[in-house]
Amino acid sequence: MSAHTPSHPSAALDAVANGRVPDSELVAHLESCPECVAYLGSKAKLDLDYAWRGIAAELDAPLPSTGERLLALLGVPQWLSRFTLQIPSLRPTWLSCSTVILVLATLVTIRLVPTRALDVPVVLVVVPLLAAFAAAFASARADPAYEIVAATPLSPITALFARLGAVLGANVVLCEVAILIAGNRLTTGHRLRFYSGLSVGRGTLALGWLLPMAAVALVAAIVSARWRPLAGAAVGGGAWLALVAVTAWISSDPVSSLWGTPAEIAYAGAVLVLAFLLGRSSARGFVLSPNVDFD
Amino acid sequence: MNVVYENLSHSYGSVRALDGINITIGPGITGLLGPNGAGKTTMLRILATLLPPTSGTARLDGWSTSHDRERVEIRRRLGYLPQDLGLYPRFTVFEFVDYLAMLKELHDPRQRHRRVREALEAVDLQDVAGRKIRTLSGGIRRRVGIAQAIVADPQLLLLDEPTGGLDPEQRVRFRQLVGRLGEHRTILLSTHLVEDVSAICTSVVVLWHGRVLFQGAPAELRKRAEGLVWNAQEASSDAVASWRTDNGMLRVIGTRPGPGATPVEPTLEDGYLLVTSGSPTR
Repeated sequence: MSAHTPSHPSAALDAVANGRVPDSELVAHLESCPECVAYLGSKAKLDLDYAWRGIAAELDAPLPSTGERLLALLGVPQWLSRFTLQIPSLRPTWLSCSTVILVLATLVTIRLVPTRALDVPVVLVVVPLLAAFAAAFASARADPAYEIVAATPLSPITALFARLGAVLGANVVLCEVAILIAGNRLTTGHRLRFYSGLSVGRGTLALGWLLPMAAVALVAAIVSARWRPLAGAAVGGGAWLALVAVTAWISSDPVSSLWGTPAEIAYAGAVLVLAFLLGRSSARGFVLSPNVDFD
Repeated sequence: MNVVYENLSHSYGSVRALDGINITIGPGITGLLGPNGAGKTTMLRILATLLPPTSGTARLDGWSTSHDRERVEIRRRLGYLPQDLGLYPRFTVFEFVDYLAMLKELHDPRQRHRRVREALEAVDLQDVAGRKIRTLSGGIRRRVGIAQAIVADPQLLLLDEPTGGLDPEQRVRFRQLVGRLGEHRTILLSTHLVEDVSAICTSVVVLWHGRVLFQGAPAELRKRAEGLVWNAQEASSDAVASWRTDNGMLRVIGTRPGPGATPVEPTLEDGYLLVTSGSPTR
């Protein structure tokens, strides 16, 4: 259509051929003008296959999940939120189970601690146990696609902090709520209030439940990174239960022995050492172990 | 891209899986052929930067899997299909490949979605893009695994037993696909099926108890058995292998079993059996 007459909107057609969206007037003209349609066809640089592939891709692409949208509001990039939300111990079913366990532990604590039927508040014992399981099942090995994920350029340290941070963050929120409830329902002045987080001004003891939880979670994470998630949960949780049992057996005041200042200092030291060990082993990014993954 | 294994050894406790591997692998499709336990998966896992070697090095174009920063460079150029393919059952096909594309640093959503679509088209899965993975058959899941491996257009593709669990038709289609992918990439494909190597590989490495028994073109491996394969009524006592074929005769690999034996054209399998029979560990 080299002899395109002035009655045809050549300039507008050229713009459309270069990717501009046609206005309604031009669309109406094209519907009644085969010459302009042919002209546009001859000028269009658009690769229809390429364009269609892009459209089909957008149609197939899933919408971000609710979790991804919430994390996006906090500024978390989509790849990181999708990566984090694949952690088994952050799935809604897992968090629901954790909530049920915490509710039961809170009820037992509220019922039995004031009657002196229990020396140790159950909720404070359960919190690190939950964290041990959550951290173990947040390890790379708990991911069904861990071999594929580990072969991507994703930094192993980023992956580690994203997984552990998300899981511990979720557990801290759940546990804090449980301990606040337990602390408030107990008589004023009971020592559990001291660990409830309400008494932030009183110093490090306000985080009394947090440090043992972090230490136990790190033990579970280290073992599960080296072996399997279940082994990590068993070692971390088992070590904590053994410590509680031995302390309850030998100490006349197990609450102070387990959550008092000397114990907290020991937990803090353990957290530092364990975090260093975990970071060092994860930095290398080898997800497989010669002792476990024989083939 | 060139893959170099230098004095590579790997042990699982007291079990030596790789024993001083020294090979260089260039562009094209290379088959790692050997029985179960030969060390094929270990070789691929070390190159996929998942497993540290006990000693020696594995390199991709000079980047070593033993150096932290160089490992990232290898991962940027790598597509990996593991033997035990773990997928997320509740994900759709598109969602899963898209997720892996994100982790492979394809961050622009439109570009990434287009690449995902192209990868799914390459494995002929565009029509099931929206289906949940839990509803798919084993063969289709395998193709999802291949789609995630190629989505970032890797220069090195590691495929561990990719035809395992596929039916004959799927296997043929898979071979066609890998043949196409291998035109512009370095592909290492581990298998214990001689037919896979025969159909698509441009070179073959025969592994036996962690050692390389042969490296070369499939035709060279076949040639090893020339003049040593026979049709006969009975096998000689020193035959490497013999089995009855559908014509009622014995196919014998080894020295001429008797005066009535007639020589036949060797296959790749004959060459493989002959090479592995010469292993000192057998």
